Amino acid sequence: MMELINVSKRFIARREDLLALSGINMRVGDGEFVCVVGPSGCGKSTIIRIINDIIKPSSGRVVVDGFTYEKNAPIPHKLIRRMGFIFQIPNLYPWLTVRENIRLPLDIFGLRGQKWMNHADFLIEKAGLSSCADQYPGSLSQGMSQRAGVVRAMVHKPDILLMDEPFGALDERTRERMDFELLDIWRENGMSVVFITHNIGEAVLLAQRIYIMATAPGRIIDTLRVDLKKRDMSSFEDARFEEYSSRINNAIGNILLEKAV
Amino acid sequence: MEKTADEARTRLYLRDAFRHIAAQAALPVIALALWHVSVTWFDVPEWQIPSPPAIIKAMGADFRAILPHLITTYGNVLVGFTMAAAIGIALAIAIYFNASVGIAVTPFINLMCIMPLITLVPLLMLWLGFGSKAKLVAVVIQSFPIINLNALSAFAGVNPLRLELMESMKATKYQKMRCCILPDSLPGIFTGVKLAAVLALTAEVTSEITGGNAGLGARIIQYTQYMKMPQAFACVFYIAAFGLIFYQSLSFIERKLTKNY
Ligand SMILES: Nc1ncnc2c1ncn2[C@@H]1O[C@H](COP(=O)(O)OP(=O)(O)OP(=O)(O)O)[C@@H](O)[C@H]1O
Ligand SMILES: [Mg+2]
Repeated sequence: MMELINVSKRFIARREDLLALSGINMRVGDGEFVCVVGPSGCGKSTIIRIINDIIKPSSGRVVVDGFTYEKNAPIPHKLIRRMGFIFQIPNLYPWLTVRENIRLPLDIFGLRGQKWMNHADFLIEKAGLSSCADQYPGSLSQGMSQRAGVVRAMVHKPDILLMDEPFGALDERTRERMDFELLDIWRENGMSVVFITHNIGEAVLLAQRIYIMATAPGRIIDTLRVDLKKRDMSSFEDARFEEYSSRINNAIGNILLEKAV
Repeated sequence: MEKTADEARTRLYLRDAFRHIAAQAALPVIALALWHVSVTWFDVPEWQIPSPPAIIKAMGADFRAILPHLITTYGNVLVGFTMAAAIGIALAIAIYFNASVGIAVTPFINLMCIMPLITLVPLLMLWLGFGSKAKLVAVVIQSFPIINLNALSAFAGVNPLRLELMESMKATKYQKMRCCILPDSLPGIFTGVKLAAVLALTAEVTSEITGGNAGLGARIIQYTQYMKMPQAFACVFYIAAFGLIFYQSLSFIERKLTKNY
């Protein structure tokens, strides 16, 4: 289980003091699919970067299965290996082939041997990337590139996926397809997922639990349990889908209204 | 079907290549033609300005006499340049691993960059003699700083998102350098390397002109003293040809190595 306890983050740049996150409390159960939604600049990326220990919180701590990391205590190496980070853009290295890109985490984590190579190839095959695995990323479409980005984050068998608006740059239909494929992967492997998006429909479709955020300072204003009967194309017609969406809309809208008044 | 498409592509490629070469050769050919016409027209004596055919004739007829010097010049430039590249890049990597090295060394490197080398050559020759040693040192100290500075600024300007991928896996400093920073910096490093190629040749010829009897630079001085202008110009042409081919080869290697960037 992962918990964020009273996490705050202050950015101080050029004498400007920005409270990007204030008192964030979050909980992600084992195998739970959690979405974080909120307007641009509310600190979604900052949260996920703190979870991955790419940046340090100004105060508060993160606890994963009893291991704590915070401002002055780095994440244990054991935990890092259990996480996979997926960026908003594919972020593939152009000087490596797709296959080499996907194998990169194996190199970094020191996972050697044929077994891991085979695992990488298995995932490549499964993601439908075999035909372009030995090409360079420049020749791939956006959707294929992001697929490779997802596979790269999973090659070392993490059980926590951290996804920062991974499909935000894709067109509507590709995004939808990727969402469903992600659900399949999640059901099969049972990893915990923290999925960031500003697309409310996407959050309702994917998440078991949604954290709704607001800006200035970045904070969580509401939590929502999502309980759809099924998660597939029929979900969009589910009456509760609309209900959840409008609840999120209202939560965010109310905050905006309060500000305007 | 496949075959004809290939053939068509090859034909297209050859046509483009031919066009490229023709366009590039046009100006030099025109310049040489103008040169030739004006020296014949105005009856300029050969000991003042020889005509291009006389120079080209000397390049062939006096080749045996010029050859040892040609080997000296070309060899020194290649050896000195290779050493400079190794030192410049190695030093940049050392600075990356240990900032104190950078603080200690950078002022001197900046100084070497702005220092006119010609002022040092007589001193170097006083200490190291008129042989190749002094010239090699001159070539190296003239050309490695620019490689070093460009490598350092390429390291500093590495794509932050690409670096973040490394950080998301808590890659070691060494892994970051090997997998991300060095390959990402390749275009920047080549900027320095190509500039260094020009500086290396300049340094070598300048040193040869300043002292000693070996090398094309020294030959130019001697031939002019004996008014053997076609031979002197032959040496100039051999220097120019080498510089051109050297630079183009480096450009070619650069394009091969960075074609996927
Ligand atoms: N390194 C930094 N230095 C200073 N300010 C930063 C830094 N990183 C983020 N911020 C600021 O912190 C706030 C939150 O940024 P963050 O990227 O987490 O937002 P976000 O919710 O992910 O937004 P988006 O939807 O646009 O991705 C923003 O106002 C941003 O400008
Ligand atoms: Mg973001």
